[in-house]
Amino acid sequence: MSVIRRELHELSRIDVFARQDTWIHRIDARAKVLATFVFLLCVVSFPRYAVLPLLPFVIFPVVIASLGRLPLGWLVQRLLVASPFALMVGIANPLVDQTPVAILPGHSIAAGWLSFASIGLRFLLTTAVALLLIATTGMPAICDALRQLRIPEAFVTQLQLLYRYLFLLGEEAMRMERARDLRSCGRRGTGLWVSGTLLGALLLRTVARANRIYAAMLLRGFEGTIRPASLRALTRRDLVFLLGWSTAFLICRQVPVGELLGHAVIGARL
Amino acid sequence: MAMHIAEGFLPFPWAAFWWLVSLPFLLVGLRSLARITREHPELKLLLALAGAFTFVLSALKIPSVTGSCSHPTGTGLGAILFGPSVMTVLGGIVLLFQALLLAHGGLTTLGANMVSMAVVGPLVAWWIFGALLPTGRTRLAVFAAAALADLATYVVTAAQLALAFPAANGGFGASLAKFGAIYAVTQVPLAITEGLLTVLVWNWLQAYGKPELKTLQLIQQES
Repeated sequence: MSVIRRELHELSRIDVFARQDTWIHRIDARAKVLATFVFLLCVVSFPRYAVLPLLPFVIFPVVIASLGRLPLGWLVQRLLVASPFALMVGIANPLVDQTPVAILPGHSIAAGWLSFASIGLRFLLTTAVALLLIATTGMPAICDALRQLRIPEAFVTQLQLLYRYLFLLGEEAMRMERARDLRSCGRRGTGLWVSGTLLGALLLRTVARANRIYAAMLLRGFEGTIRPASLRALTRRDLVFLLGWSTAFLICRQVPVGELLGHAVIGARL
Repeated sequence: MAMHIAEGFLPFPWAAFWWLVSLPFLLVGLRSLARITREHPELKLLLALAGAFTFVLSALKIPSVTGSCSHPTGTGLGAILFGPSVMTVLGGIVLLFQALLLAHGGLTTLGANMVSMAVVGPLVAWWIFGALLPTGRTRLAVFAAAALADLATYVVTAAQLALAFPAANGGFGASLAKFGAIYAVTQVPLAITEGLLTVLVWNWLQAYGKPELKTLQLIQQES
């Protein structure tokens, strides 16, 4: 499968996930966007060697994925696709940072391993939450939420229009790529020269298409701004979601929950 | 896309710092964009489709000069066609989409990725193109703008990582050398490929798309 077809397929899947009707899908997009924002801030604000304090944050993506009925395989696959960068850069840490750090009585490891684990865990948490936000909310609802949260109109309109035309243009590019592949007979015709011509043609088609779409939108009454699909006040459920999770994140950021639980378990055993 | 700094990778102070650095550029770009779309509402759709084009471009497999495959970033071409301030906004939106939809890059590292790909890259392309254009060698100007914009993006990304993760022995310099070496092996051939590809696209536009080129350059003049 070509890269572009695979990416378009993935985008379509996310759209399908976002159209489900579950408890988490019914939460207002603003509440989910703000809760995600607090989550990201808390997770990235930990020091570079923090591993144990990050573990309680795993609960949030697990709960959202379960309540949103999102397939675990999809999430794992997306995370694996994105992980090589984090692994590539982080893998050097154990080699360059060999300061011994005690992890258990009588046992120590190089500090680089801790920072590597911390980077990996942070990457998994934050990427998973960003993917879950879009898969339980959908891009149009996120754009509406951003507009209501006073993000500049020009930015949100471009965001919304760009998302809308991504599929259109992607399919156009896919057709051109397929036509090239069918005519290339193996490697012939897939060189840089043909690729340049292909992209030039795609750009010209893009301009022509933009003009046609604009004319069609004018005929349908487009006045330059996209109106939000729905405008409603935050309900008690939305506020409970936002305040509940935000408070939990801030507590987990300030209090070593994992450590306390560890002490409690060891204490109970003794 | 491997040059994006992944989600959660930068320590909080650095993530916040790069967000702060990127914001003034984004605001200037947004003001410019708002003015263009107010004076020429018909360009609103074209800009969105130009952003979609950049996104699609990053998903197309193009043969590299080393024989492997890569994908173009479109930073140089975008800056030449639309100007650096509009490209900052379009680049920012494309990076946001890549972070949200494809898990490439991230929300916390969006500021850092914007500085390297949507601010420095387009500015370098714009300067180089502007400096070489008066010599009359347009193709060389296009090639140099696209290739050097690509390289500048990787140098800035390497510097961002080196600042965030200085080596225990040798500090920032040693770390920059490490990250630079990682990028140089792959990105120098890719920059040359992108430069050549941009020249081919430019030739095609000159030959078959004069009216469209005028429309695209209207955005640049207005910005």
